[in-house]
Amino acid sequence: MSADHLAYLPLTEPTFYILLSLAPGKKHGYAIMKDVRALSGGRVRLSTSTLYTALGRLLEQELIERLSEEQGGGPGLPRKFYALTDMGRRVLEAETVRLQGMLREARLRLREGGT
Amino acid sequence: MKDLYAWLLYLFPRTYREEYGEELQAVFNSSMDDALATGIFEALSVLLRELKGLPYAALNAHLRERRKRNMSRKFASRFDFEPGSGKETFAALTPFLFSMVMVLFGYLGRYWIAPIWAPIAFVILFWAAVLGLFLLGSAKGLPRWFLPYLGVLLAIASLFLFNFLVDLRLDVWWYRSSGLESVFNFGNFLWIGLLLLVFLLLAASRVVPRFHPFYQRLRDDWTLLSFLLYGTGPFILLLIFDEYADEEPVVALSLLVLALGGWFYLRNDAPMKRFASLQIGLALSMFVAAAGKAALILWSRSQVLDFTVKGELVFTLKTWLWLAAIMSLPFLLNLLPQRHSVARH
Repeated sequence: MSADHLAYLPLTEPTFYILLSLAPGKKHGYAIMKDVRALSGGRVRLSTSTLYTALGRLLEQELIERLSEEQGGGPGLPRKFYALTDMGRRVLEAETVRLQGMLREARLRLREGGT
Repeated sequence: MKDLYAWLLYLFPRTYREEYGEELQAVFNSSMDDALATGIFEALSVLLRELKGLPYAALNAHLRERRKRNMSRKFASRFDFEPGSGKETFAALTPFLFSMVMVLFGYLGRYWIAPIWAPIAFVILFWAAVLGLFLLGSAKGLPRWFLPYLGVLLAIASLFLFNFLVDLRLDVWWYRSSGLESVFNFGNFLWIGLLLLVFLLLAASRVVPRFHPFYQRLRDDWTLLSFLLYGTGPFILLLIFDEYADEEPVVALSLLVLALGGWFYLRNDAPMKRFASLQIGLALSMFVAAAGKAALILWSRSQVLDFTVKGELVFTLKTWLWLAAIMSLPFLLNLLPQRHSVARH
């Protein structure tokens, strides 16, 4: 397997949460925004324009894809959905492993310091 | 508030607004509605956050737009012609018209003494142009206008291949010991070489990722490969008049007819009409060549060798049939299973 996805690491916190939000399935913009806030315990609160700047960058990097328009929510509201690509999922998995490693080391050191 | 946001969206580049404007507005409206339902302070907090993030996002969108424009400018050039446009037609027909002009220059050149450096400079310029066009066409993903140039190169390469076989004295072996000489002349290996090179080109475009789009284009429109083979026409015409004298006006007329066939090909949309344009162009061009050969043999006193009308007509007929048959083979591409094509931009 190619290690191209490692080039995207480490992810910024908003990027990590956006990708994480899309891990279970496709979502539209506002659903991502609310999910990021919920996942971060209210710490990461994206503005609309900041969210779309991040989505635009992730689209360019082909970590997510924009799906065809569907009507949902309210009448006449445009709904474009976003979904993880295979590469996006690999990047998210690799970042999770990286964070797990950091966490494991941090816990070990803290335990050593505490005894 | 929502109107203010709609107005602020004009800070973004036009293409960005067209792509994301409605989404941005819809998401802003939803977040303001939810915030207002919670309370005025939450709504103010959301509004401040939106106003704070917007200038950076707009600047970012402008920079990204500029980068995209620079990228497309880098790859686009004066050689990206609109299919069916006058420029594309002129570029595609240049090998035919260039050959015609050079033949006529050669004819007129007999009446004045050219300096010794002139033919050397011409050969250097010719090969530099061929190499330059080959690199340009490759870089541009082998556009339609470039295919006749590739045809010329394939014809030259098949002649080299043929000469290589002759150098190995395989022609002598063929005549002496194959036993097939009566049914299949060694000279036909020129066509076998051409076929082999076309297959190699197809295989390479199938295997090399960079040329996958070219392979897919050939699958979508098989007449492109016929047009590429049509590009061998000028070189083949020059070959079949080898060792003739005063043949230039006839060759020039044949080349003009060939160019007209190419013109009709480029101006037609229906595949079968395009294919018919090429076949009719080739047939008429070969007819002109055959009639011209007969006239030269019968009425011109300057012929060096003793050609017979019958022999030359049969040779020209065979040449026409070989090329017409090879140009028809791309139709077989239609019979191969077509993969579901993904959306192409």
